[in-house]
Amino acid sequence: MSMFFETIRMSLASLLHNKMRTFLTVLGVIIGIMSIISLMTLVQGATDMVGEQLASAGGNKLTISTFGDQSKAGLTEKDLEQFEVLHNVDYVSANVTGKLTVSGGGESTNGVMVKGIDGNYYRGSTDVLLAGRLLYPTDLESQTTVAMITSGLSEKLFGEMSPIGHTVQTNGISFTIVGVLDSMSPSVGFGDMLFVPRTTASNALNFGLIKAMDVYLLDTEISSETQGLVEDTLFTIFNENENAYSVFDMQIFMDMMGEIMGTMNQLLVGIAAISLLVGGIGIMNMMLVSVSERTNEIGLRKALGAKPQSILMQFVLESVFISMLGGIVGTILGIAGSFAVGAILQVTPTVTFGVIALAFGFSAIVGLVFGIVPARRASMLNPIDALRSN
Amino acid sequence: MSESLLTMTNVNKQYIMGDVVFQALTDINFSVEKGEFVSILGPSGSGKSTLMNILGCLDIASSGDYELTGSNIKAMTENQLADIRNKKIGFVFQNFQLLKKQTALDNVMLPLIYSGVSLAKRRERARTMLIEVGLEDKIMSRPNQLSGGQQQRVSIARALVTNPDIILADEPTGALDQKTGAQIMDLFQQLNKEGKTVIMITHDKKIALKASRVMHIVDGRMQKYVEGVE
Repeated sequence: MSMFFETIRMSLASLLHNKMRTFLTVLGVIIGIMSIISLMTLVQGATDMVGEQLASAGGNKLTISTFGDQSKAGLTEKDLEQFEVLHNVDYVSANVTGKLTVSGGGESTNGVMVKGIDGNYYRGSTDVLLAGRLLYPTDLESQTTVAMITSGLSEKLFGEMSPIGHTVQTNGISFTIVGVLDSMSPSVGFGDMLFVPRTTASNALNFGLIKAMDVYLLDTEISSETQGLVEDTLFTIFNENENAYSVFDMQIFMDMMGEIMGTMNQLLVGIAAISLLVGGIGIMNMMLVSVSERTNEIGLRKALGAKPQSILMQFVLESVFISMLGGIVGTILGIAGSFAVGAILQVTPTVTFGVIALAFGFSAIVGLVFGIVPARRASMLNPIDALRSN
Repeated sequence: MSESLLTMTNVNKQYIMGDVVFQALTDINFSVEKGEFVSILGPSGSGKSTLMNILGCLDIASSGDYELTGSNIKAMTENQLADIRNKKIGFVFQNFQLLKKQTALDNVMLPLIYSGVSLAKRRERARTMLIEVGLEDKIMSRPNQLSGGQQQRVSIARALVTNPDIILADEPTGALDQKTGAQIMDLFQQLNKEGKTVIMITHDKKIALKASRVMHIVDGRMQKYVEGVE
């Protein structure tokens, strides 16, 4: 054991003696580890962020689009009830849409997305209500002519004035505005929108049958089973024409996204690993120079009783020290760098213990792998020849 | 002769260089007893360095037997040879072979690292040895702060520190001026008087004659030294 500590002491002493050379060699490893760490934490951070965004956009729902056919153009209010009772279904939210010209406050805007929604629409949404109220189930039942308006559209029609209580006209129908939604809300995105009760839209505005529906799940783990039930129901509703509808599972999309990000992560880390490889070659180069410079010392040590493995150990430890030092500094700089870059890209890097452990493991392995060849060369030197090289 | 420290019986050494076989040593037969001071005298190219390497267990004879304190050197692994060099042999080299970046104390401690002696004991024994060779005020000096004679004393202290069976000195005065060389020879004689077995290899007859027995090596063959020539 004392021999081991002695070897560590010798290795460190020799590294400290050649400070500049050691620093430059360490730099190679630092750059390699730094790029691996920063890429891994950034990509992981981005993956987590995209995942969160997707989940908030509805990781817990099946999205159904109906195209219909000659016999049946879409879903009726009655059809919806069949989905609500399926196993693992929390609730459904269906809507009808159309693009219309909307006028009010003496102004008029065309191409407004008018969306007929139900009371469940806002249960799975993060849209922001700026003023007034949402649409109630009672609005659907009695097919009232009330509407929610997006803040952008409100400004175009009513200027700075609050639109609550005022009316807008579209398709010859007058709607009383009861709520204002922030135009920056996630589901708005399309620009100017007017939200009205679905039943009113279907009938009074002539939007017809339901073309889009979200089925919200209680448990996303069994989403594919529920998807099966939903598809069976649609199959029956559309008279066994399976081209009349499609079911999209957000969870599958999220899994796919995760896989893509994972592959990208591997690719980037693979590229970064090349720089670590270059760092390793730097170590090997330095160690080979060091061995040939110290041939005489190695010969002397062997003459005085050093066994090949103690020489081997001395040089391997030197190279592992360099590499580990690079690993430590590279990890610190890599994390710092990823937070700096993350601040610019607005991505919060995800630093896990695993990433740090991986970087350390990598750097130790690099030191070992690239140190072993020079160290073996040193340990196999013939002491007679080595002593003569002066 | 039964108390022999080392015995060489019909030792031969050949080097093969391509298809040329070079006979470096031929039928070397000799023994050294405990407490002797033997010098091996020979001109360059006589095979004395080869003999020194075999004596020092740095090399192995091509044929014949070399017994060192009961061990047959032929049948040994590299690790066993390293152990023998560490424990039984103290080397003194012509060009001192000191580690330039380390102090006299560190240099003397070096062989003890490979004996597995603890740091405290290594320090103590190395210090004692340096005092014994007259360098008590140079213990923390580095080789470049020491004269040639002082450096050779450090190297002798290093050879003594493991308390080996033999001190093996290869041209120990070769890099020194005459006066300093004579002082180093005095030190060897003194060590021999204290009971150390010393084998010295040299091309210098005057130096060789300081030993109690002189062997002459010419063209790889060992001969009794004959008084009178040169």
